[in-house]
Amino acid sequence: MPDISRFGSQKFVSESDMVFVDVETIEFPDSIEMDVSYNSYLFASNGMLYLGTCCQGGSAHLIEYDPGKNEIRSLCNMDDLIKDHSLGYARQGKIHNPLCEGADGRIYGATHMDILFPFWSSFYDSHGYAGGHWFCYDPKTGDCTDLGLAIEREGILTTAMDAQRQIIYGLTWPRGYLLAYDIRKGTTTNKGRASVNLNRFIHCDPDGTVYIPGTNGHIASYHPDKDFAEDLPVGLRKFKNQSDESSYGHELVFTSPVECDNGRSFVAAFLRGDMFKYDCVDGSVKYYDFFDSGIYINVQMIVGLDGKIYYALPAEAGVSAVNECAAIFRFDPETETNELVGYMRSKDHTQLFHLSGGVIGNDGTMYWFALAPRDPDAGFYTREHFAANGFSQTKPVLVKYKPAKEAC
Amino acid sequence: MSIHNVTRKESPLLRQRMDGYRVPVPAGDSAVTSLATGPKGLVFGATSGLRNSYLFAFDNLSSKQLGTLVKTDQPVGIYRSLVCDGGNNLYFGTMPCIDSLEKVNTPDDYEGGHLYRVSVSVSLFHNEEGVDDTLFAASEMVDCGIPVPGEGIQNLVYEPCLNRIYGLTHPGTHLFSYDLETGEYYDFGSILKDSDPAYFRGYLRPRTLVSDSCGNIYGSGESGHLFNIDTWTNMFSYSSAQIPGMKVRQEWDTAESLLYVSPDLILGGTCDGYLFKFNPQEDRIINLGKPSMERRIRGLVLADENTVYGVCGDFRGASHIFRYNLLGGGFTDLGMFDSIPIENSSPWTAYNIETLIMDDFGAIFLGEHDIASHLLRFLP
Repeated sequence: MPDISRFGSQKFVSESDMVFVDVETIEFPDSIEMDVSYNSYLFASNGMLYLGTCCQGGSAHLIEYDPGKNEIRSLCNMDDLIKDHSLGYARQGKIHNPLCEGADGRIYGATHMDILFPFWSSFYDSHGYAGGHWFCYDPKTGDCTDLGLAIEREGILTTAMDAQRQIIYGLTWPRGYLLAYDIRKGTTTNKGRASVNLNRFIHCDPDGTVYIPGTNGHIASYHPDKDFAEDLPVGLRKFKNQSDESSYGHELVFTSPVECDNGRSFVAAFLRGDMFKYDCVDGSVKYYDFFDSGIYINVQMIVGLDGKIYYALPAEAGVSAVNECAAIFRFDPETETNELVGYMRSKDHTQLFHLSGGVIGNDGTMYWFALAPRDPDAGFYTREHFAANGFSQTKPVLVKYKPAKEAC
Repeated sequence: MSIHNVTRKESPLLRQRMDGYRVPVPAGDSAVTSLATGPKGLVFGATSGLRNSYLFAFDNLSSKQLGTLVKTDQPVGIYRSLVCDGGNNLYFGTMPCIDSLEKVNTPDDYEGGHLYRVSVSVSLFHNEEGVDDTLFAASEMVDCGIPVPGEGIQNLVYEPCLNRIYGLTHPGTHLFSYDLETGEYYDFGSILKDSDPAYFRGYLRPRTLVSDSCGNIYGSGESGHLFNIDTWTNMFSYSSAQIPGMKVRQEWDTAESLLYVSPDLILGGTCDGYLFKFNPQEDRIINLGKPSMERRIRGLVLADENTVYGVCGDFRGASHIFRYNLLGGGFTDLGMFDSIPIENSSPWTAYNIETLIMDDFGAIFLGEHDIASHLLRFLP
């Protein structure tokens, strides 16, 4: 098993030392304006993969991938659906949140703002972002429906679903409100405010309790019996601030958690790559430390058919890793071991980066989003490349990876 | 170079001159909608809750501790309606519940907002080591009655000369007084005509009063004109000058905040975010402009004889704090309340500041209006 302690944001692994996994890639059609996609991936009961795209200066699209035909197609352009951009408001540039499948077979999601730096520009401008909308897609009719404004001026960053009550919970950006959208009633209510620093973390357990980032490093919870989310007694640990060793900050939880122990607990990862497991019954937290310096990990984890958790060091374009090639890790909650599966490259040996998304199909195939350099011979797509070219020298691809049988 | 020649520069980061304190009440009940200063470095606040509303006190002189005083046991709005009589008595007025996004839910059978009195006792518990603790105690709430039946109370100001409280009601905008000695109310009637468009448009209703502490109460009313009431004679008069605003809205605009500076200078901020100065002696208003693109100047305080601090912004934006120099130095935007250090908690970004006040020691306190709210302290 490779020594994973060598991974870290400041560590370089030479190409000769890399262990690669070859994956299948499917290019997104050029007709879809997009930069990337994030953790919107849903493998629906009809056997289709649904995801949303993100585009700076463009509109988000709802996308369907048919594994049988190996085809990607756009189902809906969010600016065309919601129409507020045509009134002068900023674009509905992202579908950032995990899509949800309702009991009615429809695919539900929400929109997020097209964030252009500086972050606050859209927020300040009175003609800026009007607010995220809920929407749904009916696979039977092919119709996409705008379900209305979720909240003014805020985008929906991440979501989780209470399948029993048919409620979709969404965390907003930038204020971090917890919204509850009742599918049956078609109403949205505001259930409180999370810490704005941690707000990609949301989980709904089988009981209907929703977990979100609270204040001061605490996990907050909301249950439909309550009026608002409130902090739980448990506080996540602090880490020494790398830029100022005399100060401590709470570790950022950047991932959407995944369920463990038949719903009793969930596992999430800190931004620095180490993981923790929260027991929803007794409120205990267990930490798993794997990396001796921080890495920047994918926002979505996948539970494989083998019960192990797959996650990625995404090699974000221009952001994090020295090695500009995505790597897949596998964590076994039973044995508490963590291993490198390998660096990810396509079958023509193009190295992939900016890995995000993540979902598993019925046959155990895992799907991610990745960027591939348009010119594979140009070498690693470095921070300097990204600063100079943005996404113009990259192409978005859907990644299919099926773990070897011996891994299962 | 001598150290004395070094010019002290203002920190560009607002958070380096601020801290905050979580209001220790359940989420949804903590919107700080009223603040008042008391003796000995005490700051009092009131929340407007969806289930209960609370009075709280903060000891800025000794322990920097914040404690709750009373709970209303019903959802009421206490909107800029908290005053201290200079001693140990707090008075607060209620209006229908204000929900988290600004709407006032007035029931059809609303009997009217009550004025309540609470006596506060504060003592220090001396620790052998470390900082003393502050022990807050309060009497039961004493119901002083309903000033105007069917109307909520949306603003109170204490006039020390006559030992009276003056207030405005919601939604009818009646001006009333309450004599603290006799317990008698006097209703001056609505300061608006029923046909006035402002009557029908939420935040455009007149909502603030200011006292010069010499018997004059000022406010804004009909068609954006300021009014004055001489409390010695109960004479009511309107200024001929109109507060500034956009042309088509000027008839409806109202002062959101008023600050008495001197007999010939009252500063005001409008609901559209204009700052103006009013000279009551010359009956003249000068438009000073807009300190920010944000609307609603929520409050103004005088930090020294030449420097005014204010907060603007509403639920659709992000609150900013600004400074205005009365000697012609203009506006300085000090920014939004981003990542403010919070006592015993993680940094917090406050987007909606409802009210601000300055204590006797020059610290400015700001009340946040959100689902989980904070009392913020800014040291100019």
